Amino acid sequence: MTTAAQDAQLLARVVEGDHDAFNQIMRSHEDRVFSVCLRLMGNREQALDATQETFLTTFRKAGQFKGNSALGTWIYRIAVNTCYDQLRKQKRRRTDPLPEHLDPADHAAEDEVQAAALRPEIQQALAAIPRDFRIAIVLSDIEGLGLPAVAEILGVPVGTVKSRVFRGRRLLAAELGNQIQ
Amino acid sequence: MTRASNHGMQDHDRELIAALVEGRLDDESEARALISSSPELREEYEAQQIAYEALRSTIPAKLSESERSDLHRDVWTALRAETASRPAPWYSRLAPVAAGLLVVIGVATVFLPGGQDSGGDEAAAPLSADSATSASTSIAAESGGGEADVDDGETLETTAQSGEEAPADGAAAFYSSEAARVREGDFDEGNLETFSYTRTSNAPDIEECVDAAGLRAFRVVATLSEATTPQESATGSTTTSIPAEAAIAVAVPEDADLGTAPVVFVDLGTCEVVYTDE
Repeated sequence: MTTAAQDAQLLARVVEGDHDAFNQIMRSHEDRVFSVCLRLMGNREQALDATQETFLTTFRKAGQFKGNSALGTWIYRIAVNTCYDQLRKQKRRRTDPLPEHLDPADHAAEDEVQAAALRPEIQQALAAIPRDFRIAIVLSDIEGLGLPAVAEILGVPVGTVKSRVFRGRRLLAAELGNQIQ
Repeated sequence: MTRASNHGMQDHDRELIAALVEGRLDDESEARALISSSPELREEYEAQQIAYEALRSTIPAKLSESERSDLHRDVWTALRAETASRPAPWYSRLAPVAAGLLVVIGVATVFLPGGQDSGGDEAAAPLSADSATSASTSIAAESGGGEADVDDGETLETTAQSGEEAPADGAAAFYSSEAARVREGDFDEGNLETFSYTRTSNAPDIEECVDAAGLRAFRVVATLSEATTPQESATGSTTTSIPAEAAIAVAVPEDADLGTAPVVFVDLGTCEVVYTDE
């Protein structure tokens, strides 16, 4: 059976109320959804909230999945939109900058970063660039997705993704350079 | 050979540099020659390489085991709570109207002159499609929905029975054209912040307002302020106005394809749907 057919079958089972099927979907995609959310939100707790909301939406919308894209792509798209919504809410309510440095005494924070395996300077540089460019390079260069998949997730043409990745890398390099100086 | 110009780098140059950085080229000679040809291109290549290597050096994050079990627990808790107290969706309010209409149409088909003689297939067929449209139109006409008045250019009259504002023709045309822009991607995420937002003093947050309008699983893709209302438009083609202080949120279903999604306009002053373009 093809992956697409398996995806469709799994979602059909979810719609019918099969909890095991939904758990299976979560297990298959939760790490990648969390990873994308962490890079976008820049904060582990907020990334967990966004991951949870992503799967709630996935469950609610399971009956609307048409199978036009891969299940993973569809879930990523939900994740990106969820993160965008949460970032918008944050922006209106408060400014919550990333910490300048980690307190060495704060082992929890240290563990978080180690677990995320993303150097703080890269996370800070990512947080400093506009989100359209940030998400393009996160999906393409960290998550390793192909340009067509990124285009489908973001709902933009492949050419736009290419341009965003290119400009995003340029902006990131500039931010990293600023930090070194 | 392609060169960077004063007008900026060309697409081909960018493609070539990106391919070189990503190690996708079998033959790198053209790309190497390109970046040697101009300090600007060399600088671009080096910046791309720094960023790409920094990003590729990172490993996608993973949930810890405790986070994973918390996630599963929280998701199922939320789903159970939601199932237990799920409010009726906004369109469910239309169900009694639709049911009543079907009864009226059915009765009319049987008792009106010629109704019994018209033949089962011919009488029944339009009910599923064409007559549904005309039935909707007649409801709007009876409730005054098709003829909202404009009051000194300040407010739109609303239809009392429907609870949803029915925009005048000019406003409908305006909303439809804005919906078309949404579907073309003009208002997609990246552009959200380029539109100004005029908020009334007691207006709730945009998402909360959209939620309050019964659109819980919708995302806001744009906001329209006075500057983008018909009254202020450059064309001046309509005299219809949106209430002076109101701003409009433009929302689509969360995971919908923008190209085909219903586009809903919510008045952020009243948190009510003012127009739905499907």
